[in-house]
Amino acid sequence: MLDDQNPRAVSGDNNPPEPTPYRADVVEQHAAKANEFLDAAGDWLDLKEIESEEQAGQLVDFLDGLRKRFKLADDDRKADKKPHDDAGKDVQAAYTPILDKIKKAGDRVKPMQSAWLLKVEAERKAEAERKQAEARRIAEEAERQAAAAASRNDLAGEADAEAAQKAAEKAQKDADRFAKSKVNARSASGGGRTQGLRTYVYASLKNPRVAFMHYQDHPALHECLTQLAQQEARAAEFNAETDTIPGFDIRIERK
Amino acid sequence: MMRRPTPNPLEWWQAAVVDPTTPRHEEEPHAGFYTRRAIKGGPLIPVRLHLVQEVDPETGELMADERITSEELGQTRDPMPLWMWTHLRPIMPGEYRALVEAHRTDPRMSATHAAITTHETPTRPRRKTYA
Repeated sequence: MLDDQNPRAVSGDNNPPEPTPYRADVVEQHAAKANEFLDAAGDWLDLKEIESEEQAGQLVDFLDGLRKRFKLADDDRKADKKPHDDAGKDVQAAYTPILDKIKKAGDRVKPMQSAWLLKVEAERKAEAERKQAEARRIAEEAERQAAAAASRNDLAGEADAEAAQKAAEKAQKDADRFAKSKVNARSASGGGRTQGLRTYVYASLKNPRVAFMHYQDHPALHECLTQLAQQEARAAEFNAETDTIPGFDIRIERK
Repeated sequence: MMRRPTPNPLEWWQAAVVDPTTPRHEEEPHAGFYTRRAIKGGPLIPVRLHLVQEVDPETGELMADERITSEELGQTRDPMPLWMWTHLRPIMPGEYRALVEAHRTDPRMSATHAAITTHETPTRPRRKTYA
């Protein structure tokens, strides 16, 4: 058997490689060049520091080469990506209006469902309260019966009171279960997903100063403040030599 | 009439290398170290202008007229067209020697009439410096 002699000699082994969504040969060329430049960068790093104007000039050429290589690779990346981006835009253009319409229809109708569920929930709440009150009343009645039977040494009465106690416990369980149950709207056909009310929690800023003190150690707040200060420090009207920003050190670096 | 050699032939170049706005006369080439490009974007070419002074050792007088010669990449060139028609930029001797070495070792530099590319072959540091 030929297959036994050479496992690669099978049907389809000489097919062309799977197409890539980019020009594989161009990517390979860029990768090879990038490696070459990275290798040279190693030579530069080995120097530790520039010792002469001549080396500074050579480094200018090296950095210029790096910048151009980056641009060439980036240009090819953009060129290879463009058809996909364009195709993506076409797909978006085809689907987005449909999705928007569907979403709009849902947004218009959903409030009706919410209003219904809120109404049912209010009724459910009233019913739960009524059941709780009824359970309490049965429990009190059972206790009263038990006490009366005990005072009379009425065995039959005690048995009735025991039964009433059990009934009271059951009523309480039912009331608790009912209170825990959630309001939802089930599919009429069984095909739709059950809908319920969702709880959303929003926080709105009332007192920035107090809020700032509360979050003063939060890294996200530090980041936000740094961003604001950077923005101010880099503004044209800001003089980094003389101006200050409270709470910040202004550092000038040249590189 | 006694003809004395120019005392400091590099005087103009020394001034120009520090101050590029030093007045320059079209028809009066000055000795010194320079660089130029053969084409836009091409590699820098080192050019040296030299003032030849044949001096009588006994009298210190010139035995013949002073004359300017020029050398570019090991070849003698007519200094006048270089001075008049190309843009010669005065450079320090260290830079001149580094350029001569670069033309000797870097194939990109030896192609004087092709724009130099920095992105095809990475420029590596040369340990030996000429500054």
